[in-house]
Amino acid sequence: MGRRDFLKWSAGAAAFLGAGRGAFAQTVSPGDKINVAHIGLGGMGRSHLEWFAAMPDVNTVALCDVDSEHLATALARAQEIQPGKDIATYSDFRHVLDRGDVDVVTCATPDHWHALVTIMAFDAGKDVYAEKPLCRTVAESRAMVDARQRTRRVFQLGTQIHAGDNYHRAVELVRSGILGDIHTVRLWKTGGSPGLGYPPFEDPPSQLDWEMWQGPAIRRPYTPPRCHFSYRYFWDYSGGVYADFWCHIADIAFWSLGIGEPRRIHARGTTPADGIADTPAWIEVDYEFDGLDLHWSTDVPDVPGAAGKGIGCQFEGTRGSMVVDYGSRVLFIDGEEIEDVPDVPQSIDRSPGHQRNFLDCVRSRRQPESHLDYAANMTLPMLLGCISFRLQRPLEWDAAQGSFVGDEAANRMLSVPYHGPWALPEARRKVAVR
Amino acid sequence: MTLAMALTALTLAAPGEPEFTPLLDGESLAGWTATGDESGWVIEDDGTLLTVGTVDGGWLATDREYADFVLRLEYMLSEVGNSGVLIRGMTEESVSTEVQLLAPWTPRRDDLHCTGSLYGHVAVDPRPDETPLVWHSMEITAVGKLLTVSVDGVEVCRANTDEVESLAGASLSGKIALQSSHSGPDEWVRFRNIRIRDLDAEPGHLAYQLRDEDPAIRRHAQEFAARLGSAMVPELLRLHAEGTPLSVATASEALAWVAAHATKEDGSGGALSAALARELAADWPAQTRKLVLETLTVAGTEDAISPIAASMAHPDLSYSAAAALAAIGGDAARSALAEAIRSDSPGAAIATAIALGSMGAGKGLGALLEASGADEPSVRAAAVNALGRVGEGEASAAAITARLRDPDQAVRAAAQSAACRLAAALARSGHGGMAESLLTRAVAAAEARGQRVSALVVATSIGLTESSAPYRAARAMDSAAVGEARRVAETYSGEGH
Repeated sequence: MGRRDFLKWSAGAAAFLGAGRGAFAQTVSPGDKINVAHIGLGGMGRSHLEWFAAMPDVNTVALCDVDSEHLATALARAQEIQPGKDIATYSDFRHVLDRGDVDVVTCATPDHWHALVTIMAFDAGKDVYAEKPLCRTVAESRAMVDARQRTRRVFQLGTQIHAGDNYHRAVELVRSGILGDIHTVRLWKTGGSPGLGYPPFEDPPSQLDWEMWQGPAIRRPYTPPRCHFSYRYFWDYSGGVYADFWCHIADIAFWSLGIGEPRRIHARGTTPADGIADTPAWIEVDYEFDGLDLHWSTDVPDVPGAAGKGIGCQFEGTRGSMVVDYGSRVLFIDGEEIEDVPDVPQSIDRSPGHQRNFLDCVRSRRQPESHLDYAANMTLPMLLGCISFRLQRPLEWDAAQGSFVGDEAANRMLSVPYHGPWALPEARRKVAVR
Repeated sequence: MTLAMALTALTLAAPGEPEFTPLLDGESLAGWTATGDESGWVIEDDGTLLTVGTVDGGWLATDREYADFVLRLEYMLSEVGNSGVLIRGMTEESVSTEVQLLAPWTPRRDDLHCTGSLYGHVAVDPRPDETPLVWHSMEITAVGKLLTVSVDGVEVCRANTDEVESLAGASLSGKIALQSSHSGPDEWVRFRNIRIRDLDAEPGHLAYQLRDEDPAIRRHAQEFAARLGSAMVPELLRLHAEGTPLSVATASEALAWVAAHATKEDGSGGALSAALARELAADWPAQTRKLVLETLTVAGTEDAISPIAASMAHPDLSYSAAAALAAIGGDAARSALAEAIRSDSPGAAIATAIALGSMGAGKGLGALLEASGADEPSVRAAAVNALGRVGEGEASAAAITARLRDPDQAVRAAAQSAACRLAAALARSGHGGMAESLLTRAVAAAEARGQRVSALVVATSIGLTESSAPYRAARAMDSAAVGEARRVAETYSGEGH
């Protein structure tokens, strides 16, 4: 693709309202099936294919990946599920966005593509179900929120644990007050970034479009660990285990307590010493919120109920505590260990499932359970924690200004330079990014 | 100053040892802290440090930690004196390494516990002279995992800590500490001329350690490189320019730490920026210069603007250079970008337009306006795009309007988007009339229904009714676009959370 074609596309990325065919007429009539296209078909993308194709009112119409092996594997599976249907394949997601008949795209690309794919899909009139983590930087998060408000599209972050009964019940228990006032929350996920060694640089394999894979990220010589799956252990594309799992387990705390933005962030930890990977081998972050201390750790904290759980959230209140993980919970009240308090009524409607909830919203035009504003607020402390970790110092956050207090280097890290001609549309509000 | 003090000052730093720094000032225990009773440590009139057995002074430890160093000192023991020098000690998790100082007393200690041994870990060979009541000299070197001890000019002990089972996990850094005399109330130990060559303050040494096979050694050198700051920059770039995956990763990470360290409130950010800017003029490979520009994105100050701007012309560097200038910000950066947009390289011009679009044009506005009429279509498109984002009044509106009829399709599409974006900004700043006129022109120039619908939706969002000029223009050309825009507006108002 020549520079001129590229520019045409980047112009589309920056378009105020998109210039695609009938961009804003993209609403699904009640009797119609929803046409879904999947962008990014590694492990999570193939789960998207399975999940959505299982819905009776979904047509899988297009698949897209920059690796033709991924594409071939996914297409073979899609044809098993929908025999005889015409399923188009693409290596460039912009051709998917160009199709007027696509209602929904799912995005399971590496993290450094999440913001642009989502924003360009919004501008092309598509609704988006995107994998976590939401994005890489605060600037990306703001641009996504801004673009969604501008285009009024429907967005769901792929935090499927949210939909389970366990999280719903945990929220009801916390909000009931049986634990008293919650003053401390501890989040943890064991395991850190492996070093990945020092593999030699290579020519990218022929089935992979390495230039497109890198997209807005900085250009690096190709070596396999930088690409599929283990890209997660490089700041160039992601933020390691911490960035990967934050939203799954922070979700239960932010949902239960309606937490706002932190005032102070202090991250500590080290990166692996035995390889090219540069995200945390272990990390601890202390956050101060208004009336709440929140801690993240790579280690399992020494609190009741946490032992043996690789991921978890502990709520500590004035009357008791509770540890929640994906599928279980245990409460400690007056020294007694219990799983539930039947007196607390069920007050929150249960989810029909994370993908079903999203598709229902595509029809109703309401916002789904992990909608973008919620996801952006929940993701912010993680993004700020990454900056504190990389600068190896505590940071003060001014929520009103949307910037760090007295730390210019940290403020510059609220965004990363995009490799041109890719450009992130600028958000209208709180643009502290210079 | 008394004569005694003057003599003391002379004896502190031995001649011919410019790399060495005295660890004691000859007058006080400044820089040291005793773990026991501090009165057990006495500075005598000639600057000699005396520890006597009557008071338990514990360990006298340096306040700061040392990792790689050459330590030289002289010591004298009483008849059955017993002391030692702890190195890389007083850390939380580490086994301690003590170089023993011992008079040959009864029962006679073996080679694993005598003077010069790493007490209990590594024996001496040969055994040094242990005569009490005379001055002996000692040199201890610690470089990575290699430790050596010399007494009176003869090496008596050498160990690689990885090869000594009992030293597994020994810390690579820690305090240096002297042990108080502890063999009896009448026994004593004297020290003088304690001086150190701090290898971790020497860029050349760190550069060597950064190439070590052992990741722990490299990691350690990276941390010390961060403390050394801008002085490390040339060595780190040399390492990066070697271009192997290991050297690139090690150098990139170390430089990131240097930047994180220097941009703290200690004010050395300016020095780092200057050091990096100097390197931009040197003959580094493009990948290495790119690393310099990336680091300047975090650590750059205004002084670096002109060398960064000089990198704009390089096709592989223009995006990184423009990003660095945008991060530094200010009118000087804008002026430098404005200059670059006029260059012959389309890549540099496009990178500039993206940067100006992200930072707000200010003084760069004139250059963007000029570039919107450049010969190269891709430059025109990028400039128009940026104009739509920075949105400053009539001149931008006129430039965008002119590009709505550009001969190049990509430029026309960019101008449509820019017109919508600028119109919304104009309306917010109270220039509704100008916004309406711009949208009318966009509708009239639109080549597809989608473009007309976009312009009309913006018109509605800024409060224009269906009797406004953009709607009238659309109705005359393409009434279906009006209906579609209306449906979109209804979708908007129906949204709930």
